[in-house]
Amino acid sequence: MRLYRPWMTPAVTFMAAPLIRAWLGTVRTRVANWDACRHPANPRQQRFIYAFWHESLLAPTKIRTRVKVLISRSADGELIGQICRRLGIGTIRGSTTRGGAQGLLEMVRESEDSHLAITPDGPRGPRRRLQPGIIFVASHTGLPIVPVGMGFTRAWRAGSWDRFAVPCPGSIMAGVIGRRILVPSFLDDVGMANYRCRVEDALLAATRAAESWAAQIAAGRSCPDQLPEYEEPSGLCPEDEPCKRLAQACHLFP
Amino acid sequence: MDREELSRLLRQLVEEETGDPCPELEPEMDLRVSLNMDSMDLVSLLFRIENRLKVKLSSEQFAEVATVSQLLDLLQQLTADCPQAQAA
Repeated sequence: MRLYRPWMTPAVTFMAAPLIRAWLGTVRTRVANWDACRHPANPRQQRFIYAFWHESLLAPTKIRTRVKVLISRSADGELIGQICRRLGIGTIRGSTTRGGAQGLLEMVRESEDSHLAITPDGPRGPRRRLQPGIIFVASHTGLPIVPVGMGFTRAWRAGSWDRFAVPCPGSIMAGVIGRRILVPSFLDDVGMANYRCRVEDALLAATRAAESWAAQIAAGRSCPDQLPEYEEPSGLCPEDEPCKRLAQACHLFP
Repeated sequence: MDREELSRLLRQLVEEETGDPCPELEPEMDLRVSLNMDSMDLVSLLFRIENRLKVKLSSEQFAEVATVSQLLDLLQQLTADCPQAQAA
């Protein structure tokens, strides 16, 4: 039986947004940035496309920078979109299914004042399988894709397709920012497929690192300020730049 | 440009975008289903149309378009409003 109905959206939003804010206020965040340089909070300096799995949709609420998130045009998406707006996160409505073309167009054209955040396995999955829309957006905007993996020391998992993660109060959310990936313009189908695989591999690697880090923290084997091991997928490093880099303290998250 | 010219141009641009021969365009053809175009194809097609006709469609206008007829109506309206497009 489906308990939620679209007409409930305003009431649910009104109650859920402050609850989520208070709830996540108890969740601490640790981030390791394995990208080569700083990520400016001000998108006017440089913009990025942050990619993270749909199950980690709560992560942008902890980001202290201006992002717009692509949210599905479904009824569930309307609820999530309204909650995001109440939490101060910009939204663009659309997906690879409902309203996909409009969402892609808005991402390419009308988001010049913010970073973009895309959950590339949404809105329907399969879980952790990257859909090509993010490659299209990156190719047409010239913005680098930054894979962001999230792990949780303790989290409830929903029974949905994405096993949506809700971090427990007092837990730690560990984020690993992988290296940015530049996608060339005018990609053909083969190029799109190649970059889809490369970005998916990078996002999976960042997620593995974040989950491993969170598990170590939970087991008391790693101090939360100790940086995780991140094995970068092959093929992503230009020859003139070494894969092993010093991780930087990240200023995106509190 | 009249509707006939726009229809020919649209067919040519669809062929450029998909790389396949485009069937004769019928007004009620659904762009997604009949022409087998996904969201990315549609946005790329839009960029081709904008480049060729020197017009700009907003995302709201674009969202209203589902069929060939609706797209041609919109393009006719935009090209009528834009002298540059008439010359394209």
